[in-house]
Amino acid sequence: MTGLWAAIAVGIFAMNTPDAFGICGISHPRDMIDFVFNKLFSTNFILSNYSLTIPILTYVGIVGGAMLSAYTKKELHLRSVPQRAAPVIYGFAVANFGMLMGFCSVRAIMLLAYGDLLAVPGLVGIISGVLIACRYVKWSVKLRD
Amino acid sequence: MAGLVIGFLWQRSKACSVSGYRDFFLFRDTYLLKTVVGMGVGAFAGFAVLRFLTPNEGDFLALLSTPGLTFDTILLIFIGGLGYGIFSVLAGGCPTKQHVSAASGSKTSMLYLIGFYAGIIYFQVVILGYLVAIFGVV
Repeated sequence: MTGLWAAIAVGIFAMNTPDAFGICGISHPRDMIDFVFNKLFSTNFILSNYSLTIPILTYVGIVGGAMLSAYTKKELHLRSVPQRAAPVIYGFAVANFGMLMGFCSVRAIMLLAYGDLLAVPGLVGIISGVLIACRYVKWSVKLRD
Repeated sequence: MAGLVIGFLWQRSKACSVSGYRDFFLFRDTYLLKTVVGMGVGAFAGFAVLRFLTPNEGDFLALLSTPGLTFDTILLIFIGGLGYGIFSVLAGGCPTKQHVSAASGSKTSMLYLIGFYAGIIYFQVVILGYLVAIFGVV
């Protein structure tokens, strides 16, 4: 469904530059927050061509849709936090590395399906990173035992 | 509206584009990996249909000769992907999954999103300047 939307977005909104821009966990939140910052504080943060006049609210929609789904499945309730600092640091790091890469792991797949070779080093990097992190997780679990 | 539908379905499927690889490498579990493959197949099918309907428009697969693919670009994208993969596994999922989890009430994901949005601003205010100074254009 997500993949199909990415393709449909290319058709409806002529989202070809940058390519396959239908969904991205980095560029869409960036455009949204940059739009707000540029309007409120007159900053000059990067905006894609699609959000020059109106903000891209894909992730507001995703949050709304997920909340609706969780509510209908009776899964909507606050869950406790085992660690407070770690998630903030991880989020900060993911945003910075994602911004460096220029797209998220979902859009990397879309770009690859679109035939954009820029997705290849990104996907190789992501899969290598996941492998390294898995090794680390296994090692830390062994160390605990 | 599309975001609403995607968010709804994402919450139901528990999909995650990073956890798919993680579960496969750690447990040989292919459930989430199938969602990743599904996204790719869905996108490919969609682009192919679009290309069929509008044969004179779009760059579908013509990009196999992607312009601007220099060594610096490849290196930066690879390093970005590497860090993204490592920290996404440690965080427990990709940014989209974190948005979905936060919407379902996970305080951990809410904290993640605070760091995530702060990171987006930090990158543009601090890191981007260094990258432009070192590599010229990014």
